[in-house]
Amino acid sequence: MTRAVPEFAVIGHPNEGKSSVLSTLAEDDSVRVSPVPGETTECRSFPVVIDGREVIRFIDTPGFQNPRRVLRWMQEYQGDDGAMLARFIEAHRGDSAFHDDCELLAPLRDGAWVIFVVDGSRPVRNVDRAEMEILRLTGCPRMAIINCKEDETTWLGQWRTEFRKHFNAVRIFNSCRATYVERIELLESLKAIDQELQEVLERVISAFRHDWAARNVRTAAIITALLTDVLSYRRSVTLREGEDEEGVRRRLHDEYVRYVEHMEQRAQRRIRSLFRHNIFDCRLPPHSILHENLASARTWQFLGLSARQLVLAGAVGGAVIGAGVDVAAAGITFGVFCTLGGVLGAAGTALHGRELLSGARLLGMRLVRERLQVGPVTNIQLLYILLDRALLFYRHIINWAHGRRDYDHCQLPDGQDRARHGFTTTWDRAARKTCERFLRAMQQEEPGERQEAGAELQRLLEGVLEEISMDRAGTGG
Amino acid sequence: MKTPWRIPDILDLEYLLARDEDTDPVVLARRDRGLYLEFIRPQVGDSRPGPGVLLYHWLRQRRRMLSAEGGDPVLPGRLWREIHGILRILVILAGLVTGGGLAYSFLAYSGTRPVNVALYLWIFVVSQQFLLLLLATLAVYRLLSGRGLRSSLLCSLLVRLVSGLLVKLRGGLLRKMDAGERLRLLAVLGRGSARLRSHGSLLLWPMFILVQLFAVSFNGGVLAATLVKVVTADVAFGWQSTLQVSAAAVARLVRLIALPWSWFVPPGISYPSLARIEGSRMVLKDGIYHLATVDLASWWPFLCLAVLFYGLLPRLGLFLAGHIGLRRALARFSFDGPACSRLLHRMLTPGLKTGGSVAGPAGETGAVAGEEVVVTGERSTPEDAPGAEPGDAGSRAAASGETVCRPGPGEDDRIPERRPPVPGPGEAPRPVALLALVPDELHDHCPASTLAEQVMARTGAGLAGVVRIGEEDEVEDETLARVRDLYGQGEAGGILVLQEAWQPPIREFLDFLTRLRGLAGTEGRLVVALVGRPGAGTIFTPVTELNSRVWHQSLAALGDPGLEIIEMVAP
Repeated sequence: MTRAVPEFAVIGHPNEGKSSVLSTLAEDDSVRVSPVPGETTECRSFPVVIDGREVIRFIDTPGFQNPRRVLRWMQEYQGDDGAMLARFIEAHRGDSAFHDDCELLAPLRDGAWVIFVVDGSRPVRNVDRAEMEILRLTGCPRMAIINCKEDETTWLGQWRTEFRKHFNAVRIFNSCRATYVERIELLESLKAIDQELQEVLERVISAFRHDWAARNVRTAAIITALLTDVLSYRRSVTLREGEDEEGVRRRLHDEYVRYVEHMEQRAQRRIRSLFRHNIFDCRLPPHSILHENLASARTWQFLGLSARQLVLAGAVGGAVIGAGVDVAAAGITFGVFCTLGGVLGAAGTALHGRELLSGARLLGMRLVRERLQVGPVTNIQLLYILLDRALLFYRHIINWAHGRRDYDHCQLPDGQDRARHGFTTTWDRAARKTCERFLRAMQQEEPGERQEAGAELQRLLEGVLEEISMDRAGTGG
Repeated sequence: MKTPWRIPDILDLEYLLARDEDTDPVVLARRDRGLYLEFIRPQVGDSRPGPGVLLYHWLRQRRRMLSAEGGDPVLPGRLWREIHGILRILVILAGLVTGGGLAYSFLAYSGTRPVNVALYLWIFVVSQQFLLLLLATLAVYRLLSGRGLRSSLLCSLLVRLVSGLLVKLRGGLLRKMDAGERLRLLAVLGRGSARLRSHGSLLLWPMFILVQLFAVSFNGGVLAATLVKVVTADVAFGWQSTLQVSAAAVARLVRLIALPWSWFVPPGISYPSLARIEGSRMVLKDGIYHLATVDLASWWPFLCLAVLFYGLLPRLGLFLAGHIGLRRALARFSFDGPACSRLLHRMLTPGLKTGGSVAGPAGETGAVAGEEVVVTGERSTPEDAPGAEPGDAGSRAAASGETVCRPGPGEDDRIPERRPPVPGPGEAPRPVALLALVPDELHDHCPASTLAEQVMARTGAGLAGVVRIGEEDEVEDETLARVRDLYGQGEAGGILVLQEAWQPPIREFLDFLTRLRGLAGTEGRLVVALVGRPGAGTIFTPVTELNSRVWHQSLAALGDPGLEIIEMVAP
């Protein structure tokens, strides 16, 4: 009676977190989860599709509404054991009081494997024993999941003892805190229900792992692109006459901060959607380093020439005049005046050019212009902070279980206290060299070097993301 | 002492009691006890008045307090009075306009064809008689079947409409709602249904009276229009038939119709004579020119009297009957619902403040130092309590091998010797002892003394016994049979079910409660006492706000007006 596509029915008492377990397992935050019991009234299936083919299916079911009555009926049932569930459903189909019970037993009738979910933070009651006995009578292969909805662990021992009587496999799985690793481990433990599931579950687990690795590669690329955009940022404006230089500087800084925040949020949105979070969103606190010490430089221009160009122009001008004197002296000066003129021109321009030329106008147009410029970033601290923030966000997103709905409790550190929250503080020398190379490349205009440094950083990040996924990457504190 | 309870008063009482549901019990106890001592007791003196009187005084004081607090509060009673007043005017106007308009247009006579007497009687008398007959049949049916006004056509139609709506909701809309919304909606419907059950007749009598008022106005309109038409216009009345009916037969029928008034109204006026009937017969092929005017005008007094006696007077009678019925329903109105009982308990329970030195452990006195606690009033020996009499349910059950726990002789010192005030016979509220049903898992952790103390503090009732329920191998029918035996034999006046509020209210338990209601009857108290998750060494822990809400809404959806929900430990 086993179906072509193996089905796992998630079954239990109402309000034990069945939907939450499934939501986390299937990474689907559209599943209705509520602290009010009786949220699920109809079965809902969650197929696992690999390469367009459904491989296994999880089924969310309503909770038992009449466990003692159902058990009584089954205990009194006299007919063929194989047809017991079908008979029960047939006998109670029209009775609205048994709607939920019929609904949850239907997948079992059709040969589903059972995942029995209980809330381990509460004591065992006789209704639970009745439900376990029902499952025993159905003869369906089954395992139990203890989903601790609260931090209370007093009753775990009681549950384990009870489960030993009825189930082969028991697993603790907190649907609100389960990480990627725990999800994989749960899938692994499903193999214990039935040997024939081994192969298909291997395929599912392997597909889950590949998919996760691909998401990590994408995330690393997103973070590298963010860093490239932010660290190679340049912006300069011309100072108008009488304009408040400090005000312009502040404006440029603000623009830069907005830009960094915008780019960071865009990257976060992309990572968030990569990990299938549609409702959950967490915001890192605003940057504080950006408001402090961003490099900026004041330059001035004459006829569109920068100070350096102007010195060169002065030297050329002086040399031309000197050459004129040399020519006038019929070459007997051997170019001394030309050289002297060049040196004097350059020195004069360099030393007094700004004073001499300030306010110079031609046909009413100002000939001198001063410019303010911010970026590119030279302080490597910003790179590390951006990295830490991105990694912090990533860790939070991957560890926020889809079944968890207390979105108000999402508070992240700002990532600037690197001693405590920095992933990068524990990096080795090679990793630091990669970062330094990347920063240098961003300050240069050579595309080849930029590309290579970017690729190197991305490879580094892929490794780091994998470590974080496996919960092996420590933060400094 | 009788109290002038009116519908607006009852609505206000309901409203104020509902408002109190969300208020801290300690605050309520202090307020209500204060009202009783300061205002109510001086008025009622030592007369030991009934709950109706006490509640009426309480209501007056609460209204006064609300006025003092925030100007003139808009209470539902006032709204009802105003809306009802407007409705009455509208109904009278509608009756007059429809009756008068119908009669006026019917009596239009252009001189070619007289007004058909038979048709007039059919429309304005017979049709009304038919409706009256229908009403009488239903009244007789209700009288014979012993069912009250609840089984009225209107009521059953309403119930059918609501249940039909529910079925549709369950099928479609309910599934789209999340659990919280669904529960809220079902609770609202359940509360509505409970109100209909408890106040059904009270709310239906005013509707009945309005319908009668419409009918009286309608008949008044018909009479007025007929008289105006007769006085101000030349109206001719005649009769006709395709059948060869003789005038004598018509005269006999007319005399029969006129029986109610013919004995005191002169013959010429009470009904037309045979000659006049003969003279007003219309034969279309002959026209009406040969008919005498005096014959054609002889019918109108008879028609007016018919409307008066068959339409207006019966409806006036029903209108008065409606008022009498309403007054009787108000007089019969029962104030022993859970909210009223709690209020009376608060008013009549002395507030005890213990402070300073505490000799023994707090658990023994039930009071914590420095904390104001409410304990029940007059002291009496355990023997006075209904649950402690010899040969009671507990001892009988013990003899029959039942699992009944009862504070034994050794436990007496731990049982609070406090009983609710005992009112005068048949007057003031009489708290009854409750049979406590304790789930198997909690039973061994639930000392009878603690339970008795908590139940007394929360409900004002003593314990008639403790029954272990929900054992692993026991089925519901067996549990109910045991409870039925104990309940029937003992002196319990109600049942209390201890329930852990963190457990979701599943269908099985809700159905069990419905069956318990059947066992306790509509008069018996049925209390669901909630406790929280077992804590350090005790099962008496507070219930979380969410769990409390879920349970209140789920139980409200049952639509049982007498079902009480209490929390054993204040949050």
